[in-house]
Amino acid sequence: MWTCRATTRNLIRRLFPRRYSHMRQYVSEPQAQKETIRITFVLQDGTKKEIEAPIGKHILELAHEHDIDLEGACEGSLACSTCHVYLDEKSYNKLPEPSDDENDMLDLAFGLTEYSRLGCQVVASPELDGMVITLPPATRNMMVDGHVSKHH
Amino acid sequence: MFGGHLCRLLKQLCKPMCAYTNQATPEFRTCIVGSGPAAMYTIESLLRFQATDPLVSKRLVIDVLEKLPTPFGLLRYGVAPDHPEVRNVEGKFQDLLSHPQVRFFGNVEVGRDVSVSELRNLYDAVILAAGCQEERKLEIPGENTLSGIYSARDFVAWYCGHPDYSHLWFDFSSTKDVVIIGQGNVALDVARIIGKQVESLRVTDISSVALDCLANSVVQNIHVIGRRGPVQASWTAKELRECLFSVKGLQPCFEKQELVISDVDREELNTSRTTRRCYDLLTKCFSERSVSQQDLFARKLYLRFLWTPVAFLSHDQNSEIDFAGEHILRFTQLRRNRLTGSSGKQKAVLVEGPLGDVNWKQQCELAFRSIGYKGKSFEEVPFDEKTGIVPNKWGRVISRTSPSLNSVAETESYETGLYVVGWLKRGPTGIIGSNKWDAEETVKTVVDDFLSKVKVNRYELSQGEDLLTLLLSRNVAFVDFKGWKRIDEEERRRGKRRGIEREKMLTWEELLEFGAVCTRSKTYGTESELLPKK
Repeated sequence: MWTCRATTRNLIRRLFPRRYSHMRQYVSEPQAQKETIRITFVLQDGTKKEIEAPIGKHILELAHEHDIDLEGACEGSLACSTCHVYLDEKSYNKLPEPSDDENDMLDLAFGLTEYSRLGCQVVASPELDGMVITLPPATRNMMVDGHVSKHH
Repeated sequence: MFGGHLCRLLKQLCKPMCAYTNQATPEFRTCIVGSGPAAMYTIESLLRFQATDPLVSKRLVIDVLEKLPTPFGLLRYGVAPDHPEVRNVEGKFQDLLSHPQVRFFGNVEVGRDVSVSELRNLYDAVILAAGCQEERKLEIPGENTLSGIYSARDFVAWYCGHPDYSHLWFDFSSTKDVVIIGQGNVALDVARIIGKQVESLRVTDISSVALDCLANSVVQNIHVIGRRGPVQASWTAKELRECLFSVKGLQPCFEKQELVISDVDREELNTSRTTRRCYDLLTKCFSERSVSQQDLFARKLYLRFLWTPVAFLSHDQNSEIDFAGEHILRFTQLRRNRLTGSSGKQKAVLVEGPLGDVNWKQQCELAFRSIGYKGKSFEEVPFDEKTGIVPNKWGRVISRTSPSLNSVAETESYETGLYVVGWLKRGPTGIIGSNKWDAEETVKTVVDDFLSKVKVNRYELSQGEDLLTLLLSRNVAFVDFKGWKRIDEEERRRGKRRGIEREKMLTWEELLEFGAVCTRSKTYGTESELLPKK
């Protein structure tokens, strides 16, 4: 069973070399499991998507890997606020304060709340296991429909 | 599947007959006027709706019209060259524009080559994304008559290598003082580019003409002047932080009493996070800078508040010497302001008093006005001159005949099939990413209208000709996506030689030589060739 899975994975890697080229080769299965945490994304329509997130990856990267519609216009260089997300209160408080540069961009984010962060600045770490990430409303119409933003 | 490929191939060969090979199912034909960030996010949003909605899927056609030969609007000709990270989004925009259902038509000006009503006949939805192409003026004496007064917008376009502005020449080699009126991010961009040491600009893709001008600069003082106070300035924290703390050789200076704020100002600070953080930056810079040792050789960046420019002068009225015949800017005359009104609505009014206290005559050789952009009206499209935008609700254009723009929804009538997105819809605010939700809103409206049309069977198949045939019959030398890629590759190749990302082509002739599908016979005196140039 154990070896079988590993073989399948190697096959996938061989079939899609570019997609998996950034992954480390020959990591044994049990060890890999220890290096991930569970993260739940709450999408704009309210559906939940639970993912296994490897330690060290930031939220923007994770969202893209799991086809979650989170924009990253400046590709994580802190020049836009399109990867703006809401964290759950507990996880937010576990993180260090956002940097000045991140705050500068959060200023311009749409529907800012007190638990707002930029996805490209939040990195998966063991203490964030169980984190819930909510995507902000996509349009003003959705804001009217019920989302109340606590600005400032 | 094969039909789709064949169709695309035929289209590329400019065979007009192929435009409607799939007549059996009605196409959802959309046209976006403009190709800046708002247009790109509109494409993205339309494509996303196509993926989710079965009625829209497979029939969507998106045509993008652009006045210039090159796409991406202010991303190319507005984002400062020393902010390359902001332009990272270009890769995504390239992907969107190269999507098989998207056609790009550069060098096609709506109003010159094709009219809005013609477009409305050809498409189910015409989405205006032309942005703000005009600028607010100060309307003070001297503004239109003296040389040396420019709009910040033109200056930005010039250093970004816009082909309409490559002929400009700013004489920084005999300019000591520069006055910039307005306190937004554009004003800071202009101040930063002028104030920066030219070495740090050499590694950017700034226009080569601009680099030559700035290399000989002897500018000593840059005065960025606002009519209202430090709390009302419209810049954002990132740009302000950069200007105050991280531009080498540029020393920010303040007048202490201008940073003092009133109780009403304090109320405003509490309502906006951005304003509060920007004001904190100013006071932090002021207190830190005053103790540090002053750099004698640095350029000075004066951020001045509560002054209204009242005139640009070519001579000193108090002295006997009269330069009036020269018509060259020498002074900016300013008057002291104070603020009145309630929090959030404070206005600047002139202070009456002894002339010496309330007057400031600043010597300057160059002046830039940067007091806001506004949209440009299209023929046959409603336009609100006061706000500078196209009146709309959720992106639907409100008819000019409606009694009042503020009236309730029932009494409003809309222009069928005409929509607006981006700055032309909401005014010149926000950053590139702001267009995402803006576009999503407009596209939702567009798709809703289309679906309701299909549902009640009022859908009429537009039998008109394809835009492509129309343009070819009019001999328009348009640039398609392949043409743009040719320009793009050539610019990158030239940039490589200089060790920069790209060296932009600065003239229309060059851009069209590389990009245009066929040449305009009246311009070049040759018969139009249908095949792309090699």
